[in-house]
Amino acid sequence: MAGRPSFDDLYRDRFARMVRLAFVLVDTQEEAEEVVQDAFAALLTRFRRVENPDAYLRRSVLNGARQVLRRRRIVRRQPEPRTESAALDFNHVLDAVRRLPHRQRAAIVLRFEMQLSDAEIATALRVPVGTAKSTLHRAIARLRLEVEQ
Amino acid sequence: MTKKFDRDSAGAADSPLAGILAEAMSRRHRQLHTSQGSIHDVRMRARRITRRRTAIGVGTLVAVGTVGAVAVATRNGGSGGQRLVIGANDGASSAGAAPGSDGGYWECTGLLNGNDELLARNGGWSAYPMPSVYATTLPTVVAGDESWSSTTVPYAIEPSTTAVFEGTPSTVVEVAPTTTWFDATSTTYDPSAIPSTTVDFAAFPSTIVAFPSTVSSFLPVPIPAPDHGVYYMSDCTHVDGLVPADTVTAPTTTLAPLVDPGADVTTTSIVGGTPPSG
Repeated sequence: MAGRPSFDDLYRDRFARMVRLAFVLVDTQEEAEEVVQDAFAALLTRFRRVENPDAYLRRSVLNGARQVLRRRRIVRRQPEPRTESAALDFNHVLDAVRRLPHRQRAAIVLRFEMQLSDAEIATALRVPVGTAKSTLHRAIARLRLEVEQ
Repeated sequence: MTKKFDRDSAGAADSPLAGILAEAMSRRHRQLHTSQGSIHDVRMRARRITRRRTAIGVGTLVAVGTVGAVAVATRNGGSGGQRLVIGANDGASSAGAAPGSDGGYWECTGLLNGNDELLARNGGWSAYPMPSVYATTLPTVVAGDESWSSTTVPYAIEPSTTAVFEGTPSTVVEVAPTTTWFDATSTTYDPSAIPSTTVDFAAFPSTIVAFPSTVSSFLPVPIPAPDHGVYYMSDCTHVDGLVPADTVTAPTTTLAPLVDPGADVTTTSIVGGTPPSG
């Protein structure tokens, strides 16, 4: 495939971006980087066969983040931890984002952090475009309510 | 920022919220001290993934017969696994690949090292005629993004050779000068005619159990490929009823550092018994 970046180049280019994506989802930098490293490792094992490495990475990060959150719920049976620097970083909007269900939260991050289109969000979430749109719509409506309160 | 929103469901109507969210995330990320990551760590994780896949994997069956073996590979439908059969003297179309009358055959339950890529490049899972020559030079495989999984022991190697695997970390394997390598291109594997059942694996640690003998080694089994290429199977069992009991020693097990840590070479066994018909 012409112009396809090597894995090393892809890693250098996308690592920070993927960590940002994971960070908003799992709230801690350490776990975000873990998720991203795992995502890149999964990609590496099938790099030549993956047509769209970006989409694959995003999907892996979303899955990894969901696993982290699930593990957290199961193991700790307590609300998700505050951010690492909560005192400095308290933000009403992000707090509202954090309270969203995982899919809505992912949709919000993919839209407003990664700036993906509906179709790209649908691909990342593995849902039809219509579902992605409605998920986003519900998430935005819920956020708007919270922000306006 | 709102470029894409204009054409999507969230739409321009959500621009104010988009701005708020973008600003909030931006503020959040300013406190994120993202490292550059470690691609070495990624590679190590990838290796673990591949090893795990190999371990839980996929049933694979290999039978190697006598000279002129023809590899016939087929995918198992529905099982998600792979089945590879290499038969002897029975033609390229033989999916059953019956073993030769005086030879043994291999049964492997391991992945081909780097098989997917090689197989894809060579037309997928189909019959592969035995090449006239095997690769006899030691491949130096750099543990890289796509090639690391193919780092493995070469099939044919000159005695007294140092095999250097530039993996991470790199490993040097000293191959014993007395090593006699089984060469399927010119030799019929017949343990009864060979003084030791360890002949194939002399350079490698082995476990030998009394009849029915079981020889375990880390030697991957070479599978002929087009263009003089060789694939390597792992977790192989050589089945042959001719293993003489007097060549079998008491069980000894030695584990030694071997080849590149990333290579998926695992266990090879010789088991006594009657070869099943194809």
